[in-house]
Amino acid sequence: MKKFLSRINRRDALTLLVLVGIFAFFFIMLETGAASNQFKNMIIPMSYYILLAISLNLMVGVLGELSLGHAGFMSVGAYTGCFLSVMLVEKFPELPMYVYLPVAMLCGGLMAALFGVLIGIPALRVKGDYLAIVTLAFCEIIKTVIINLEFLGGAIGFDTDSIVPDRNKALTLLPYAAFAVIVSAILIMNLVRSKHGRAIMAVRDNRIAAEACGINVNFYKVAVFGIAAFFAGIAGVLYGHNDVLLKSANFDFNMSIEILVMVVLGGMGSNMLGSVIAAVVMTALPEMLRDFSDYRMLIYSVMLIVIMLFTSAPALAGIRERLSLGFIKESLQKKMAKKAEKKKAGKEEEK
Amino acid sequence: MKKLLSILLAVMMVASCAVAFASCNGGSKALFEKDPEGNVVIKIGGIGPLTGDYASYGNSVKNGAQIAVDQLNESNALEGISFELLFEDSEGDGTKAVTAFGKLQDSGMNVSLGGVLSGETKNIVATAAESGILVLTPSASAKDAINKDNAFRVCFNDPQQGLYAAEVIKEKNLATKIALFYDNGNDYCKGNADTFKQKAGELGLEIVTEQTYTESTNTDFSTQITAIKENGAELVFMPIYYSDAAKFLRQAAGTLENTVFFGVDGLDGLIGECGTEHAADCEDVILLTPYFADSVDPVVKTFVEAYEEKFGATPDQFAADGYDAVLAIAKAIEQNGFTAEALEEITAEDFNKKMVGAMTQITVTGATGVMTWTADGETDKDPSVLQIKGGQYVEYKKEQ
Repeated sequence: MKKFLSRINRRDALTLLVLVGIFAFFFIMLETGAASNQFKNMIIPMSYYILLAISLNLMVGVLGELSLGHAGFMSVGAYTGCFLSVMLVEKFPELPMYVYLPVAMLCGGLMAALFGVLIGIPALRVKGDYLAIVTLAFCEIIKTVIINLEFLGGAIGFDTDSIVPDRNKALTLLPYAAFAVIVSAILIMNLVRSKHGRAIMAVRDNRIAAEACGINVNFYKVAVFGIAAFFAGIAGVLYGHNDVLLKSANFDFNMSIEILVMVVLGGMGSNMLGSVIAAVVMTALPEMLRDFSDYRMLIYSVMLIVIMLFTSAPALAGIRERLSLGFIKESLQKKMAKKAEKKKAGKEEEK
Repeated sequence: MKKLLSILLAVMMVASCAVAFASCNGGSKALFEKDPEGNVVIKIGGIGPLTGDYASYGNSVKNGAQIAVDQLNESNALEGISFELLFEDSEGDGTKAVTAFGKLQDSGMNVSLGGVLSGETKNIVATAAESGILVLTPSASAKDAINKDNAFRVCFNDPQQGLYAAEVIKEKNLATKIALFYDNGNDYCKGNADTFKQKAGELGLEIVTEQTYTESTNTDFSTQITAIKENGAELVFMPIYYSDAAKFLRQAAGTLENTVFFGVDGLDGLIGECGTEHAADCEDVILLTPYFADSVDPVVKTFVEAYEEKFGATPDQFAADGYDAVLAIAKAIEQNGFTAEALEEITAEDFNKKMVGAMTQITVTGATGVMTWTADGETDKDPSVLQIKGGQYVEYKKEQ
């Protein structure tokens, strides 16, 4: 424990704290019945979008490779995990959820990781925009293959009704979602801070220099693809256990882009907190705008543009600077120092 | 890195979540609200794609349902009871449909119109099972989209139509060599094609070729057309939507000269899509549909007139389904003999139970025919076999 704590830095601690806070808030809202029906139905989607955003951030922000295929990995995980769950429930109707859901999550994640590695190998030959197109194509291939697989329901969709809790769905699934998201976040943040994480970032910053230092660039690229896909797969399993119907058409590049927007909005890079918050906000925002009915999507898009400008436009750098924690800490320290000085001066005068 | 902004956002989010999502559940609200005239308001909650790829279906259902609500309120059909339609956007996504359903519940929805598409409806039905609210979907046609006791539908299910189509082709002796042409990425098309194939086999109709396409390959059908021609099909069964069908027919013109084209209710709208310019392409197409806008039936006529006046467009199948769903809900209330006073006393649980119970007892004359419902939620009505002649739908008669 001590070792673990010493390895955790303050930034990651803050991310963890926010995550725990978010899930504690969900629990309290559900347990006390204070949550409205709309909010109740949003909790599990919010959880798996957090997981999707941080896993994509690992790929886009830490490794620096643009991927538009995250929905594809998610669908592989979703179909594998749900297929397994449905089979298990069919064979052993008495099997409790705490047995089959973790098994499904693990298997879904592993299968997605396998596909991640598979797509990672050809992806070594391309980078940047070209890689983005390759991952996009991969996503479309997965979608089309699943549509043509009869045992996965084809176009009609894969029925997961039997593995979805009938009553109190959100409350039943929340512990699994919370566990999956928090553990995954810890694993991803630890990876980023480790020796391997530094190697991955070195690959991002300067591939040639990294290679010259003896870093196995190919290994790290493929590994990150696999790891990011693993967590996307877990998110997919959660998705499948929340919805009663898996339709491969839903896992299109629109969904990948939605996840990418979360990552970009939250700030690409080794800070996962931004992704977490962006995932929550991006899931909640369109729902909160429902009262605007016809103008909902318009307002949503305008808000996205404004937030994007605010967080990245060079002209607004001054405002951002003033709002940054570091700045406030500094100015607070300065004030404190001044106060202390005054006090000192006052005391001296008294004397 | 440690932006205050992110913290601010987090705090704002938590605060706004707490405010926005918690406020609705405070205290026990009355089941029904009252409008300014003192009528008890029945809130009907619809969900469907109002934006995105399937927006036209969602908007059609919404508009059709609105016409029914307006007519019921104007004619004061039920003493002391008025109707209100709440409609939320699902973007065609099941997960978003479920949150939209929650939003409607928070707004005090009394009866649900489920979803417009099958996938979203299945999700809504699963969520609705918890409260037992009556779900009557206008247009979700996939077989197991309404697999709970409290769910019903206005339209045919996909297997039903494929079945009817095979029977009609056999009965009217339209052809023995049949080509199947459909979008195999679409559950509606696929569901229809699958049962058609099965029934055709039973009836001794030969399916000579099966040609498919997907949403992303629906522009060039030349390979499929060639294959259909080479296999010597006398009839093409195409359980697809009218926009794709119009493209297909335009490309097939000249190649598939003596072939009969046969579709189901998705083809309604084909005449408009072909327009006057390409009217020749869709001439003689046969379709099986419970509703068509040019019908002389008085219910259809009043509906079409009101719709055209309000929205400036001819209502399609989806609009008619939406219209009929609201009529059925009104009928179910009437069947229970609910008065305004009785409704003020009733609990949500009782109301839902009685509404669901009434569904199997009512007979509704709507724009899509005379309907009754079975306990498993399916509707029973007769589709008509129509043919396009000179830019009009006419009852199909075999040419001698």
